[in-house]
Amino acid sequence: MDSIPSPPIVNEQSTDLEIFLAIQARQVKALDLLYDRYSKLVYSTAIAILNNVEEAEDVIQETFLRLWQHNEIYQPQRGSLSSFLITLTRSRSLNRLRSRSATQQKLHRIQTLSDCVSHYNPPLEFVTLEERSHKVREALQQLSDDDRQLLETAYYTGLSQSEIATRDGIPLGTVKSRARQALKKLRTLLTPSFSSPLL
Amino acid sequence: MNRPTNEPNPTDLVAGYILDNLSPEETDRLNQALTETPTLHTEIAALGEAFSLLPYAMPTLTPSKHLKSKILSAATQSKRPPIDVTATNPKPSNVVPINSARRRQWNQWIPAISTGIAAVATVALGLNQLQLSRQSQQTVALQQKLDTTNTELTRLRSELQTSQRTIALSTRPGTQTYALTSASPKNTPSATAQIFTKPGDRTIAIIAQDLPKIRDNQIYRLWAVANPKTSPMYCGEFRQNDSGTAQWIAPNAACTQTPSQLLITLDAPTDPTTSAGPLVMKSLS
Repeated sequence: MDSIPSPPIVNEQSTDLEIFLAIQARQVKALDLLYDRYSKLVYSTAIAILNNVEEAEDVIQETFLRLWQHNEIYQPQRGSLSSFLITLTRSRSLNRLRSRSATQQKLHRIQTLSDCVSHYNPPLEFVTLEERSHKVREALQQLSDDDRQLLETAYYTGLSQSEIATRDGIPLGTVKSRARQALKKLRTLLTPSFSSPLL
Repeated sequence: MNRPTNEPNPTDLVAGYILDNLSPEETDRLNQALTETPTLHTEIAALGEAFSLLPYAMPTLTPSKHLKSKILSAATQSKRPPIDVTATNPKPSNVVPINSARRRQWNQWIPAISTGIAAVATVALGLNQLQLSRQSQQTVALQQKLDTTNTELTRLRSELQTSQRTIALSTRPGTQTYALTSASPKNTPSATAQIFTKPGDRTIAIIAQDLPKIRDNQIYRLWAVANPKTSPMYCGEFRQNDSGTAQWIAPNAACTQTPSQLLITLDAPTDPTTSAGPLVMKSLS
């Protein structure tokens, strides 16, 4: 008779992947650990977008329970678990923000297109949260104030680029190209060894 | 060498895709490029990952303590295995079956007995259904009351926690307090607010009294005046909760660097931040 593989035992030192495998094995302890590790980060993201504690907490609950109940929505070879949680939180927060002003929802695409990614190793996957924060702050400081604010506005407000252009009194083409260049630069800064053959 | 801006390279298109700023023509071009260069899919993952790391730069906030237990409790509930449907099927029995000879003796009565049983069962079922229907109506009504009470409890608990967090923020060492009063005593005579900031921390908290509730297409915006000679600087937007509190992260660190005056205006979320809407409240300069 085949022996059933025992589910992984997880603790505070477990990697995100080990925690995710334990979630797949329906270990509530793993969800507990994942919450301890990332709840502040995703909550801060939701608050920054929604400016509303009740709604932000609803989004956090939806995010963690969605992963728990439909763990197939995360595929480790396509990106880090933290990035997935943040992206899901942002997407749900922006949907709520947009539904407040009855504008259309647009952010369901990332998962779809990235389905085609064969394997991707996130650059900050194996460093602590504190190190990640430090590296991201350092990278953002190397962008100009205008570029940093443009990326933050695009990330947290849910405004379209044409709305940002109108709001900040900048031509749409400039907003688009500046935001794209800023994102590319951020990516390069976060991945020091990176040099794109496509640039 | 940079290409002309009207011909973005594939990585530009991927960045535009992540930023949700592709035109329909650019979307077509990206689809084409993805077909020709499958490695671009990795670019999507890489730029998406970089964009998703932005929140790591923010000061982190802690959700309320009850949220974790709520999530884990819901997870534990959903962990329970589904109800065993086989339990309703007959289980293997140790009772010796009635032998066939004896069973034949009853065969002639079977139609009449069956009809009787069916009639009694129908009446019993009808009564049961009536009772069940009444009970289920009462259950639904009770459940609705319970849901309403729970929702209200959750809201009140959440508001209490927001207020506690705001109070905690206001009592940190080095926190600066700004008292704001109505800029339009005719419209909002009793509106007052206190704003708490701390140099070096971009978190801003407000506790307001009698600040009018706003519509969904409106937002309050905060502006900081560094000194009387400079123009107001945009410092984020907010809507207060039912207890009048709100917290947010200022877009610029200068917002919390001891401004000489704070102003609150009423705007639409899409209004330019280069100019402000009607002034609602102001601190003493």
